[in-house]
Amino acid sequence: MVKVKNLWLVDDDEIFVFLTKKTILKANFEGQVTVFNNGKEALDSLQELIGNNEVLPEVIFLDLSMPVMDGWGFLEEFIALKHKFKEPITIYIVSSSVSPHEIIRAKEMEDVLDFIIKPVSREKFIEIIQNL
Amino acid sequence: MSAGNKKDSENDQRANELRIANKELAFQNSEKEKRASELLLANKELLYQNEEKEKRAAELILANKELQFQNEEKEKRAAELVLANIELAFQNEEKEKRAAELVLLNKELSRQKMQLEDFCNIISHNLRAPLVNISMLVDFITETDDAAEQEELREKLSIATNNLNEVFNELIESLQVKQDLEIKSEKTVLDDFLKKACNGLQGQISKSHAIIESDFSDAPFVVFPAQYLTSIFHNFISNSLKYQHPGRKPVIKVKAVKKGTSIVLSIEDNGLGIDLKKHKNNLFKIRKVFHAHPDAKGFGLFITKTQVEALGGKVWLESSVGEGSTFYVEFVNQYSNGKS
Repeated sequence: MVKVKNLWLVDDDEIFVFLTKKTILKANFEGQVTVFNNGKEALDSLQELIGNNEVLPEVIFLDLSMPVMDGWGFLEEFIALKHKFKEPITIYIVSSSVSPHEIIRAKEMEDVLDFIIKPVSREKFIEIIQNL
Repeated sequence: MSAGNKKDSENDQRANELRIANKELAFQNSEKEKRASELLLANKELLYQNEEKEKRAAELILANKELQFQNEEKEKRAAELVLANIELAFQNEEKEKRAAELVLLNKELSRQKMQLEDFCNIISHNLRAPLVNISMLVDFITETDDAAEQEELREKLSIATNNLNEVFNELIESLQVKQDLEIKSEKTVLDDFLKKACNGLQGQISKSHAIIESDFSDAPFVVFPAQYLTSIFHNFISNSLKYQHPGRKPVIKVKAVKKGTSIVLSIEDNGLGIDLKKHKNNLFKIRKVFHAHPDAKGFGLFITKTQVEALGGKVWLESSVGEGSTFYVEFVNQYSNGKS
């Protein structure tokens, strides 16, 4: 079991981010939660951390529908960067989408561990953290 | 010699001559008989040959008749083949027509499938997202006893509810376009509608000191539903204002030009511009926004596109990052022969 120290939340929905952070807090998560409003912000940060040889997140909760760069765009860039990671980064898609097309597409990607349909309940969050 | 003797010798001579003559005659006679029998033979031969020739002629007549018959049959067959060929050509044309129809139907189906996917996305991302927030907020409010926290959550609940309401209204508007296929086109003065749209956006225009120029000299009118035209002008102008470049005053140029039987309306701005290569497939899609902007919802362009396409027109865009964008709307069937 990996102890998660850094968790990223990539989502443009302020209320959802606020509520999910609350959920994580209530689940007694001890690591750090960092929020990015879209794929581009997360990608820029990821590249910067790699460049500075700093610690990368262990888990990313990634929304699909976001402005500037959506979740799919981020995944594409993420895969291109993968060889630079020292430790694997686990990605969960966290989306309000119930579209089977998107769910299948996400699950077919080997870098996506699971597709979580919003909301993320406290129980689901604890399960995710414990299963890593 | 005596007269009697003379007479006897004369008689003998005469008899001799007669004998000779007789022999000669007999010889000639036998020759003639020979000749006659030869002729008889030759005659028989000729008769035979004649019969043969008649037989042959009769055979030839028969063969000729047969050939004539065959010839007629061939002509008949050729005529039939010509007919069959015409029939095949007709069937071929029909099949090509049918194939063309199927291609069209296929396009229509793909379009409808895309619309369905669009709506699946709307339901997923635009309706479900605020609903999830609302239900989560309600859960949290129920769980906590802390009054301050409850107040904070209630404020968020109000935002989430407003958001859902807005998305819902926009969705209704775009759905109406799809039902309004029978909507009536009318001759509308472009300048009037531009002014109307600008009046509606007066607050944003004066705040950003935007300059709006227009040139409708080539095509002052379009035949189009007035209701849609209002929404088209509003969406494009507000889009240009929304994505203005922070370093310069927005200048928006609106122009209409004739193109064959169509009129092409262009809305050019000097704003942020969009990276077309990156966003090629997402332009005009519902709720696709390309800028991190608080007002960016991505509904306006989707509605405009739906409205224009519902009437057979087209919407497209040219843009370069940092320089600005030009949106084009083609209104089709404006002139019957290129003239008004």
